[in-house]
Order: sequence, then structure tokens, then C-alpha cells
Amino acid sequence: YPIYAQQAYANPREVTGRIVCANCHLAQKAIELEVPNSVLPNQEFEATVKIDYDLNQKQLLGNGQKGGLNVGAVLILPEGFRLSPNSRSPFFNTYSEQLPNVIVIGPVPGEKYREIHFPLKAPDPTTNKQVHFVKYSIYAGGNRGRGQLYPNGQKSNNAPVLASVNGVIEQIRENEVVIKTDQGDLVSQAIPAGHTLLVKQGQKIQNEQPLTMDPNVGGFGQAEKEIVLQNPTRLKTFIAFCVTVFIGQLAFVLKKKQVERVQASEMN
Amino acid sequence: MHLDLISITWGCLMATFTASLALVIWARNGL
Repeated sequence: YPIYAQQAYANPREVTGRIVCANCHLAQKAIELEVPNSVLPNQEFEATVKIDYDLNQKQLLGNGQKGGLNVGAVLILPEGFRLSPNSRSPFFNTYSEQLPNVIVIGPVPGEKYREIHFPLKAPDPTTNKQVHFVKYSIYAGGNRGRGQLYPNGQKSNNAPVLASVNGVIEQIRENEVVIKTDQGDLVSQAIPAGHTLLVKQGQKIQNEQPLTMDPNVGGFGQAEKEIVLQNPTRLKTFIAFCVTVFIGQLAFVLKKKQVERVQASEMN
Repeated sequence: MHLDLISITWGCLMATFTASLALVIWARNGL
């Protein structure tokens, strides 16, 4: 959940570039980010995060039942960029009061929100002196499905159960596997409901070997795009320059045509 | 309105290139 990150991290993007959601959502799955190439000051625009997955897939819920996947996303905008004030969607939130340029959404049902359209507003460098007419980076993170860890480090049931010791499978009970270690001790390991066992009775196993299949079907991904905050005066100047170039070229060509006509009449 | 300015600028750039080529072809009476 984004709220876990909001409680634990002041900034959702680590210095390495990793977005902190990946600390609990260990599985990786790609996402797509779409933003306009360039925007003008105060322009309202949209960034789209596509969190695609197979809608037929069901994930293991906390209670051991199977259910649909939720999705969530975080969009890390450059300084000054904001959620559009005209946005009336209740799902979008700013990350914190200190970071109004970071927007989070989720968890929301994946069936409806595989494409998340963030309504955004570009800043104006004339009123905000921290913003300039340059190229900025936008970072996005998107997740589908439950995480593998809770923020306290405890494993969720959405990860394979690993053997805690070397040994032999002594007994398989309902929701429990008993392992006999090489020293002869009996260690029992809980198997959460909904997991599919990979091991058989009498099988020799190593420490950290998976005892159950990985129930996870989701994953977290991040993407990065560049956006230019474009100066309208620059664009108008460029249009004027283009017009001047055209008029200049046209004048040269017309002059050449005139000279050709004079030469033709002199020859006659 | 604002997005239009960016599109207009792109259009202007492409039109200038095309017009430039056309003028050269016209001035030389062909390629």
C-alpha cells in the first residue's frame, strides 16, 4: 500500500533511483509511462501509467482465499509540477505535505485501473523562481498485486515458503511440514492456506529451498520519461524566424526569375 | 490553446522545410 511507504519514507525515490515500493513488492513486472514531449507553463496535461496484467489471474489474499488484483502507482514529478487543481478524482493523493509534486494512487481495483491517467498542471517559471525552462525527468512506479514483505520485514503469505534448516521431510500435515534435521531434531514449518506444496515425504531438502510454489502473480515496475517545460516566447520567436527565412528565400527566387526574364528578352 | 502553440511550431518548422525545397526546385526549373 502507498500508505506504508508514506509512513516509512520521507522521499519515495532513493538515491539509487529505486522507488521504495520495490522494498516490499519484490517481484518485478514492467510498466509503461506516457507523458507529452513538451508542455507550456500552466498547461494542464495528462501522464498515463499503464500497469498491464492478465485479468484472468487471481492472487492469494491474506486469508488464503483467491481474489482479483489491486493496482497502485506513484508519479514523481519535477519541482513545481502539481496535480491539476481541476481534478475531482478522490483516488489521487499527494505523497506528503513536503512533496506535493509526488502523487500516489492505490490500492484501486486492477480491472478498472490498468491505465491510470494522472491529471497534472505545469508550473510557471515567472511566478515560481525554482522552476526553469529546461528538460525535466518524470519517474513513475506501478504495482499490481500484493507485496512479499510487510514494512516491518515480516514475510507475507504471497511468497514461497522456504525451508529453515537442512534435513529430510519427516511428515506433511495440514498447514504444516515437519523437517527432521541432520542432528535428528524435528522442526515444524507452517504452510499458509492456499499454498501448493513442492516437496514429498522423505525428500531431502537444503536450507532456503522452496517448500511451496510461488503464489505471486503480480509485481512492481518503474519507468522514466523526459518532459520539456517549453517557453512560449521561444516558440513564437522561432515561428517568426521561420517566416523570415521563407520570405528571404522567396525574395531570392523571385529575383532570379526576374533576371531570367530580362536575359530572355535581351536575347530576343 | 497552449498545446496548439507547440503543434503550430512543429507545423511551421515542417512547412518551412517543405517550402524551402519547393522554392529550390522552382528556381532551378526542376531537380
